[in-house]
Amino acid sequence: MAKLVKTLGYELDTPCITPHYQPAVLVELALSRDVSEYHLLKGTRLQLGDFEQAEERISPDQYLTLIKNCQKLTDADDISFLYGQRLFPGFYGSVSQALQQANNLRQAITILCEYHAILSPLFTPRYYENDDELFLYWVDSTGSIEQHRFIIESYMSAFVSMVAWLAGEKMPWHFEFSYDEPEYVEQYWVNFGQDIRFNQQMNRIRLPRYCLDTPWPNASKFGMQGALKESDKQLSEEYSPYSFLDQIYSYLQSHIDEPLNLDKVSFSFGLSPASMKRKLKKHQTSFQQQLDLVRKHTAIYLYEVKQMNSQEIAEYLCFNDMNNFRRAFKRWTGSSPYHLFAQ
Amino acid sequence: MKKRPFLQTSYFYGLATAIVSGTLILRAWGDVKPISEVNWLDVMSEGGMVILAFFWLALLLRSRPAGRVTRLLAFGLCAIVFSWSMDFMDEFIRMPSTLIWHNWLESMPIPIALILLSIGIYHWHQEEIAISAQMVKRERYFREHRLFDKLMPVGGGAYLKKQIKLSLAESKKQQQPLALIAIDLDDFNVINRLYGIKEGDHILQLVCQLLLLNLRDKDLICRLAGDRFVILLHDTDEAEAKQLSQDLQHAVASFAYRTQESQQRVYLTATTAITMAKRDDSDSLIKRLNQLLSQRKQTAAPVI
Repeated sequence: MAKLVKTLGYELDTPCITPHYQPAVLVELALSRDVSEYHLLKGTRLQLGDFEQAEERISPDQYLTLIKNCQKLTDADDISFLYGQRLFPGFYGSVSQALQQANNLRQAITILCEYHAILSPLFTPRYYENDDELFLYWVDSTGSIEQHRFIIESYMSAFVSMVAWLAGEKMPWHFEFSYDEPEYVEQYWVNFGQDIRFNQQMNRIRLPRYCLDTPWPNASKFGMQGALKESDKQLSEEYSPYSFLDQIYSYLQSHIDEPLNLDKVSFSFGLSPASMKRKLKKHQTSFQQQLDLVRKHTAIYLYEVKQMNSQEIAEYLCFNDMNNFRRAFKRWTGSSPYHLFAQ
Repeated sequence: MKKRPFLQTSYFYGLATAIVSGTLILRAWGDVKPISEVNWLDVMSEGGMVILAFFWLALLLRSRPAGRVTRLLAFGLCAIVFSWSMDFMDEFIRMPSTLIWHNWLESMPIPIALILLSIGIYHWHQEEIAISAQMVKRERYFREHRLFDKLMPVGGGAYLKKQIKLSLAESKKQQQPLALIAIDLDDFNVINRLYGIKEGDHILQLVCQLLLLNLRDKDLICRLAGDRFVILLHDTDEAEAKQLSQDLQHAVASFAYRTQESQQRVYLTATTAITMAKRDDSDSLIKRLNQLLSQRKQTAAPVI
């Protein structure tokens, strides 16, 4: 039974995050901004000693509370970006070593996605490519609605800052964010450049493909292979390489061309529909929301990569009726397929 | 923010002693009222006044550095707290009205307090004028402490937007040109990586002071975000702005910074962009400036 539960991946309340990795970086940053230790750790059930002892793991929930406290207490618009700049490659064992020695951008992206349970535990990075561009997007993996802007800002600036450092040059990134333009948009300009759009369908970075395979100065082929082997070992010692929501997303993604419903998916996960519902609710989401999310992402993927038209996309996603598809599409994205794909 | 310690606690000790001895004097000459005669409405309102006055005193002493003005204001408030607490005690202790000084303890301090406060507020006004003169390059006669930058002694991005709005209106009214300079350190990311964020923050603070030194009194500097500063130049044409931006670049390039820990020399360069306010609002102006800067960052060779 224990093993079965383990295969479901880490959840909001699973103790799975090493406190002296990424949470410690945040604590140090907050303390350097003269935040009181007591208020910073309030509600996290943690003490400063826990970050040094490296014995117990903390849950995403505790980490999120820490982020919330830090946001509130520092009350500075740049704190998420500063946090991000300190995150990668970081000091998270072999995984950080592997990142540090990445041969090129493609490899760095692969490492980031492969070891996301260690490098990016709260939002999962995923990517796809077409002939011209690579799309790197982040999907919520623990149901962190309140802190999601902070996390996106941190993870994106972490990645961008690391690539600027390792590549030794600036990349021509395009940035898209799913939320409204924040009041402190100047932080985005300074950290991400001018090519930024808000109110988009995903939180993602687009990059021309020619940047992916340019060799990087720090690259080390052998060191890299060794570090990757050790990273695999490190990952196998983690609670799980995926979160529960990650697995739902992946399952839905690979079965999206079949008719899907709660009962069927619950059965595949060895759960009763009721416990599936309960687990999703714990992560502030529902089956329908997850399904819509995956359908939306798939529709965009099919359009951008497979260059399908609305009709073909509708058929692929098991819609018999175009009107139904248009209505559903409007619900997922806020605009019609015609409108969105014309952009 | 870390809690500020109470540095000027002697006021509280003095005040407590005064209140206790005042109460003892009242008690010695007067009689304690029976509970039934106490008017609880008066007790509540007068007690509330004491608490409020005490709160003002605490805020004053916590926020202001010690000095003449603080002393005057604090003594004035102390006298008010004392007088009101005697008034409060009056509710419990009846003084014989045959006694000539039966209400002196509560009425005498008030005129003294008001005189002290008036002198204090007058000097406070003088002090504000002096401080504003020192702050002119950072705030140009418009203050909003909630928009101060957390790291630098200058305004942040939101404050800049407010200032641009004011300046646009002013320059339009007076038919003067308004120029903006954005200045951004090159490869600041690398400095943070090599020497640590603490060193990076320190460099930014010093660069901010350096830029301040190179500005005229009519200019205003704000920190937009990260390592990017924006300078508002009133009544300045493009040639002057260009000259000034080059001066700033040279100032940054010849700044001989040594790291705090290892005394290692750090070489800094900066990229600048200039734009003139035309018929735009603050948002489009600041956006254009940043776009120009991004372009310059990709093309321009650093000035050394």
